[in-house]
Amino acid sequence: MSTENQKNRKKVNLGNIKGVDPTDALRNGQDNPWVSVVKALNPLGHIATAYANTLAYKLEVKRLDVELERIRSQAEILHQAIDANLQIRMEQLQQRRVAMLAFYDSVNQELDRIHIDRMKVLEMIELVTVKTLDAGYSIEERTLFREMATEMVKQLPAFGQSATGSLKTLVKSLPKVEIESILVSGEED
Amino acid sequence: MFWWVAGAAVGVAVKLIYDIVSEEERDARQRWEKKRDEVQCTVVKRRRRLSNHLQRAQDRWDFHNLVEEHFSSMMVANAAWKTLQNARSSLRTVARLRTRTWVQVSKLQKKINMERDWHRRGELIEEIKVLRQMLADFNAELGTLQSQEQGFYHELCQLNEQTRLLKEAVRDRCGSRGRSWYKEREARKNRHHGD
Repeated sequence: MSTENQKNRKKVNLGNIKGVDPTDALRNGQDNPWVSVVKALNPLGHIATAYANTLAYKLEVKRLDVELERIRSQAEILHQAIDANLQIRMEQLQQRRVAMLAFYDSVNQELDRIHIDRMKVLEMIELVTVKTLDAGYSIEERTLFREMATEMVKQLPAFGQSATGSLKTLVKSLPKVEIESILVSGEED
Repeated sequence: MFWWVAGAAVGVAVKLIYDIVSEEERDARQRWEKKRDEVQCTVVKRRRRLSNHLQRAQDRWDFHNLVEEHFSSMMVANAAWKTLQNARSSLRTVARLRTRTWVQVSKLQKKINMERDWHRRGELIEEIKVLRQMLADFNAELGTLQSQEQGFYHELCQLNEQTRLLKEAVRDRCGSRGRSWYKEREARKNRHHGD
C-alpha cells in the first residue's frame, strides 16, 4: 500500500473500521514499461482486472456489513453498561442515605442525652450557688456549697467535650466534599 | 476474408464482455461507496447518541449526589447548631451566676465598710472570701466554656458554608432540575422564616 493511500486513510476516522484498498493498487507495481504496454494492448488483462476489482468490492461490502453489525452491538452494550453503572451508583447513594440517617439518629440521641445531663447539672449549680449566697447558712456550710458548685461547674466542659466528640464523628461521616473543585467547575460553567 | 470477419467478431465479443465486466465493477464500486458512507454515518450517529446518553446519566448522578451531600451536610449542621445552643445555655447560666455572686460580693463589701462591729466584720470578711473564691472558679471555667462555644460556632459556620456551596452547586451545575430544586428550597426557607 502506498504512503499516499495511508495518508488518505488517516483523514477518514472510522474508529476500528478499516478502509478499503483503492482499485488503483491492483494496477500498481508494474515497473517494466514494456509489460505495461503489452498489458494495455491485451484486452483480456483489462477484463481480468475489472473482474478482480468487482470481487474485491463485493468482499469489502460484506466486511462492512459485519463491521456495521459490530458497531451496533457495541453501541448497544455501552448504552446498557452506562445504565447499569448509573443504577448501581444510585443504589449506593440510597444505601448511604439510609446509613447516614441511622447514624445521625444515634448521634442526635447522644447529643440529647448530653444536653439533658448538662441541664440537670446546671440546675444543681444554680441551687448550690443560691445556697452559697444565702446568709441563713453557716460559713462552713456555705464553703461546702461553694466547693460543690465549683466541682459541678468543672464538669460542664466535659459535657462540651463529649458533644464535640459526637459532632466530630458526625462530621467525619460526611462524604468528602471537594468545595474547591465545585467552585472551579462552577466558574468554568 | 474469413479471418477478417472472425477477428472482428472476436473483437466485438471481447468489447462486449469488457463492457459488461466494467459495468459490474462500477456497480460494485458504487455499492461499496454507499456502504462505506453508511458505516461512517452510523459510527458518527452512534457516538453522538452514546455521548448524549452518558451526559444525561452524568447529570442525573451529579444532581442526586449533590442533593444527597447537601442533605447530609444540613443534618450535621443542625446537630452542630443544637450543640452550640447547649454550650451557650451553659455559658449563659454560669455567667448569670457569676454576676449574681459579684453583686453579692459588692453588697458585702459595702456592708464591711459600714460595719463597726469587729466580730460581725470578721464574719463578713470570711463570707466574702468564700464568694470571691467562687467567683474565681466561675471565671476560670467561663474561659473554657467560651473557647468551647467558639469552637462550636466555628464548626457551625464551616458546615453552613459547605451546605450553602452545595446548594448553589446544585443550582448552577444541574440544569433546570437543579434550579427548580434550589427555588423550592429557597421558598421553603422563606416560608419557615415567615412562620
